[in-house]
Amino acid sequence: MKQQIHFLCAAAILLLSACSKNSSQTWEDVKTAGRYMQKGVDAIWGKDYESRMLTSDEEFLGPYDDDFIPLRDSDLKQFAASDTALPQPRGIPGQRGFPSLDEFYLPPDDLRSIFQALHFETDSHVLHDRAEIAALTKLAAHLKKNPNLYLVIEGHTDQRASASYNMALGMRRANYVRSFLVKNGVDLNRIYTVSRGKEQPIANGNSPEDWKLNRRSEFKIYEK
Amino acid sequence: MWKYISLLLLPFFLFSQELEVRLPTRSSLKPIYLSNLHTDPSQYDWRNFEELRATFEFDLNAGGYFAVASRLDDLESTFRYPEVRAAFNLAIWKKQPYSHAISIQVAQNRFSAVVFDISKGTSKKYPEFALSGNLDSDRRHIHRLADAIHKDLTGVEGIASLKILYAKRMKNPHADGPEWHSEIWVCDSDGANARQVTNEKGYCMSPGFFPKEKEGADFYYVTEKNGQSKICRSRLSDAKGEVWVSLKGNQLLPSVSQKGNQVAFITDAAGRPDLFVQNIDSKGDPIGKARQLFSAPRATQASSTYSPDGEQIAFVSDKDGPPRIYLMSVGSPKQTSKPRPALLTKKNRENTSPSWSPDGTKLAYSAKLDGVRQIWIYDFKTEEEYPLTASPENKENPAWAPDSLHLIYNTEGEDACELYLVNVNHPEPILINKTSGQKRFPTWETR
Repeated sequence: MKQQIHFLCAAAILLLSACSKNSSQTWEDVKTAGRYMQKGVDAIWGKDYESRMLTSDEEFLGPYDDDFIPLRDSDLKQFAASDTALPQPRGIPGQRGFPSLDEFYLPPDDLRSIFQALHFETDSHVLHDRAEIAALTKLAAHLKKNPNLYLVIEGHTDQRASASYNMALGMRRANYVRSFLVKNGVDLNRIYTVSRGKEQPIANGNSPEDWKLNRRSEFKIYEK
Repeated sequence: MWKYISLLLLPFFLFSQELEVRLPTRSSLKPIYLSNLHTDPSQYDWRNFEELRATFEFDLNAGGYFAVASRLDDLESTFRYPEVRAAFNLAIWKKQPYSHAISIQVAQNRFSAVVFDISKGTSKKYPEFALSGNLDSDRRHIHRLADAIHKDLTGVEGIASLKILYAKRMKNPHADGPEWHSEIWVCDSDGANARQVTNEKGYCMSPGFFPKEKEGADFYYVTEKNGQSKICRSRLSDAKGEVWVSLKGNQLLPSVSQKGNQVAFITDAAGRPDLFVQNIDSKGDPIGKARQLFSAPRATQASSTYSPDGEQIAFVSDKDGPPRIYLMSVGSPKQTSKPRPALLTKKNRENTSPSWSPDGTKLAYSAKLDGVRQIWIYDFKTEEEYPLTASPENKENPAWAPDSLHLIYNTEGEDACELYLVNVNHPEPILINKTSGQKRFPTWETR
């Protein structure tokens, strides 16, 4: 018995240390493995975090104006409240009276404080800074007061990850901000999103401060 | 006893490091001899002759099976022009280490080549072609000749005559507007003959060739011409792009299946960056509605690539932590089982830009190792991952050539982004296309 305990201890030490290169990398690996295994265990008990495919194109008739076949409602219900999916605006930019995105412009100086850029942590699309959350709440109130104001949210990233992944991450950030504004009462049909990935940095240095400046969401407006 | 053994081994467990041992190996490339380009006095610019020979040598070297040896005066003198086959002295060449000797000459502005198989004592003369004097056009003939010789000597189709599409990022020359522009360009497999094929005056990325059988368009790409990112298609001969996938929101990172019957892409049509697929017909037109294939809470999905049979898709997701590559079934309307993505790449973190080899045996991707993004290979047979590159620049967007032997990728730096060609069996990357601008998202023409 004692021998088995010693053997297990040695095996545990081996597992925890053998692949290590540095502490942060090991921690990332442990987190990834933990989440991956937890979802597998949950799936055994019938708890399904994963999205799934439709079994046939006819199986789901989407909402009236859907222009794609979405995943099942039961799959999407698993999404956290903070991660609600919102349909894109009904109007296509530049068509049927909706402004073209080329017509949007940077907010004038007297509105810059309301439309200030928001900043994100590395590889994150959620705002954590209380002051920036408060600023975004203030922006929502301003948009509600001005129903003729249209908004474009640009999602940007820093330059450290790959260009392709950063395009998707920029898209994630812009849609998170849009979702926040809509939850605070802004009409979703007035807010468009675009991703710039790491293609338009504002700080070209390689310091953490430069990276933070680039991990941002910016706004452009159009008044009808 | 066990207690003491455990304590004794503890320091090794705690401070163990991965040990990398590199052993020098002898090159398995077969040495071949390529003669000087023998010419008669003609109207054609002699400088172009040197360029044509250099192109031919590059093609033979880049094919991945041969290494062209340095030229030697003694051996050059054994070629007797113009009837080179009749005067070939096999006895002299048998003493040399070359498997083949290739003699090339231009007579009356016609280019001809003869390949001597030294071990068999045979030779083959390839069809002559007329030189036009237009270097770009003549280079294309040379590429085709190199591919024909490569096929005869190895049994494998060469890649010299294939084209490469890429995005070229440049500073916006106009004071107004964004700081950077990016357009789609095409070049030969050696990087030469580059020309712009879009004229969006905006930001274009992620190009790809349609499979050859598609009509109506040669390639697709992503453009931000109208503000949001849209997938467009166009022809190489006509820079008029048209929106190809019409969904609301942004569409990014398209990838067409090797059979050409489906395109996968990332879109926020449902409010998050999700993986979607769209069926397409033989002309490349969309069939029915796009399908939301994968979405996960608080996760970002990115680049995807199809298996050669089009039944599986590998894609990037950060659903479990740093971005890694997952594998899942694309499914069909008749399928009833629940497809689940399986984690594929486990060795590194920050894995992006997957590309499935046309023979289905390997997946190339970019992964961060010791702070640098390198090109890695996942071997489906052995289920092992290994690095292909090691230099200190960040590397992204590997794309397989149709021979499943060559990859092209781009480096990503603050000042320069360059295209490199690499053979998986002899990973010495070759820089191609030394022109201005940042060259990114390279992709091969399909066969």
